[in-house]
Amino acid sequence: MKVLSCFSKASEVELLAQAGADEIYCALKGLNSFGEGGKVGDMDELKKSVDIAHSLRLKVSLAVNGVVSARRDISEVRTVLKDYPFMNLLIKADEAGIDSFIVANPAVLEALSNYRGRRAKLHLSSVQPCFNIEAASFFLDRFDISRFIFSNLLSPYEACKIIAMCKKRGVETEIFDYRFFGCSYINGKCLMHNPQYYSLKEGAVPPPGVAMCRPYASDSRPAMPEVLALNGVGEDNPELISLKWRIAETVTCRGPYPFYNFSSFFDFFALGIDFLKYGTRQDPVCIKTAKVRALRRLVDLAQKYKDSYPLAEAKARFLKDMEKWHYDEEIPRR
Amino acid sequence: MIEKCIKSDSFAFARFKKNGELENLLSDYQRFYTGSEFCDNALSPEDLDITEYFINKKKKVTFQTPPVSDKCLPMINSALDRINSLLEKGVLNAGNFEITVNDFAVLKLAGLRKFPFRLNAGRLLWRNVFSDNKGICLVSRNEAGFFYRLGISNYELSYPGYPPETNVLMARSIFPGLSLSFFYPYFVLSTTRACIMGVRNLNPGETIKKVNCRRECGMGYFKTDHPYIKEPVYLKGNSVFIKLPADGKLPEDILPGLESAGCGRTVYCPYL
Repeated sequence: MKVLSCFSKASEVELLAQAGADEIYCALKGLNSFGEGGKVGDMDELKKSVDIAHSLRLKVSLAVNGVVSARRDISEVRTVLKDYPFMNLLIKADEAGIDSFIVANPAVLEALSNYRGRRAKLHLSSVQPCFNIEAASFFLDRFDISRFIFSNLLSPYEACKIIAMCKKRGVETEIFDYRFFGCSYINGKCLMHNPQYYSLKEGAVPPPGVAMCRPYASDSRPAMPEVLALNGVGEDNPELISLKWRIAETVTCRGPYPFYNFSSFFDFFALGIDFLKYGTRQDPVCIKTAKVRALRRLVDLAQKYKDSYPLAEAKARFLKDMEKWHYDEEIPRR
Repeated sequence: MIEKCIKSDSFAFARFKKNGELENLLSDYQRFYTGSEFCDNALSPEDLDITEYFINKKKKVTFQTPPVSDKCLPMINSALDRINSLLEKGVLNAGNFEITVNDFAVLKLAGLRKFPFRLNAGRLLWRNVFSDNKGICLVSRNEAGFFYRLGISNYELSYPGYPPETNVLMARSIFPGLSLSFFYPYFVLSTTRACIMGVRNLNPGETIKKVNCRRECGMGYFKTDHPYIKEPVYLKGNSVFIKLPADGKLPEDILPGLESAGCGRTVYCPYL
């Protein structure tokens, strides 16, 4: 398993390589991607980054994985509907030497698949999540996809058919590190961060870094929900009361419980996933490098036990070690 | 003319029956939306029974399908087989029936059967085609063209609370029949497979195998408060909503604005 890290500037590339990244990826201003933070500023910076990365034998991917191909204002397309308008930028990025595009939108996949001069490969983004083998084959059959990136909402047990299909077709596979990617809603289908659809409470501004889906409002008591259209049970039903608490915590404090942990990581590792990714582009470089080192250690630890023990024992030993892992001991505070 | 529709998944259907509302709804609404929109654990053979109920009542029906895991694929295939059988027996009129897809697997499986009826892109797929940056904006020919070639020209969205500016009417010269269906009064903010109701915290060292659904969401839906959002937040199963002021009936004076936005239908969802 190889380690893949995000980057935001050419100056970060060498530091990430030293920390243990085997590959890197970025997003570019002017092209739609999942999340707007930490984008590489322009094509010259991208080209410079690619040159440095290639001199260090690192491959570079470019994320153009907005669910929709472009965030356009209605005034731009009120009267004339043209073809995908950013193809020229993708062609320039391809000419700059990037090794792959990370794509979510099927029309962009189609446009890139049909572009004959393309040399960069295509990776299917987790922002277009495939939760079953038929959805995965919908994309793999149609487009020239060389890597499949799993949503963090699929268990290793549920993912194994897709993994087997990818291996059979020679398609690489990739997962996110469970420690540094925490959203449990379906990425790309979530509008919770978009205040155009609701109003913010007066004076209740989420602190920097706090997401609307995981507000961590530790200073307030979780609001107990009111049950509507109550069906088949009384208000005093213990399961209903427990459900109300779970909902209160979900909305007020933590978001839904995550699917991924160090146990699921080991199971994915054992299934032969090719890449482990970390992707908070807006992290400062000292945090980026610390996280890459943490990914490297995680992979090396799993590999060490897998090479030395039968799988069940390797997993048990790995879990025992990972139970001691604490975020604050390895990752500096912002 | 905007078609008046109502969502009647198994949760809503049970309440319509319990409240004795079905007869009135059958005369008030032209089309019934059955099935499950967001959750594959909520889809069951009962949804096909409900679908057949409305077909037998000579109503137009849209069967909604959710994102699915491998575990649910046999259920999807069996639902499509049953729909095919109704079509072959002449019970189902292809002009009055549709399937909504929220997963590319269903698009693929329905496409393989070459059904003669229309497919719609559901509330989890419309953002592949439209940008919601100031209005609902079809961004280029490529997006609509991709789905159009797969038989999709109708897109389902939550109603944003006002008739949005769109370029749908203009795009109809290239994509005839392109239209929007607006669901109200609940706006879906987010959805997850890590079900808010069903997925518990894992013990350290335990890998989740699948969503262990015990149909907790059948107990009801929930209204609560978010630390930063002014409006109450509603939760049903694996999805989070906010509610628009309109409840039950959209004001008549906004209907021309909706038609100008390319809206062909409004879908009332009293139970989210």
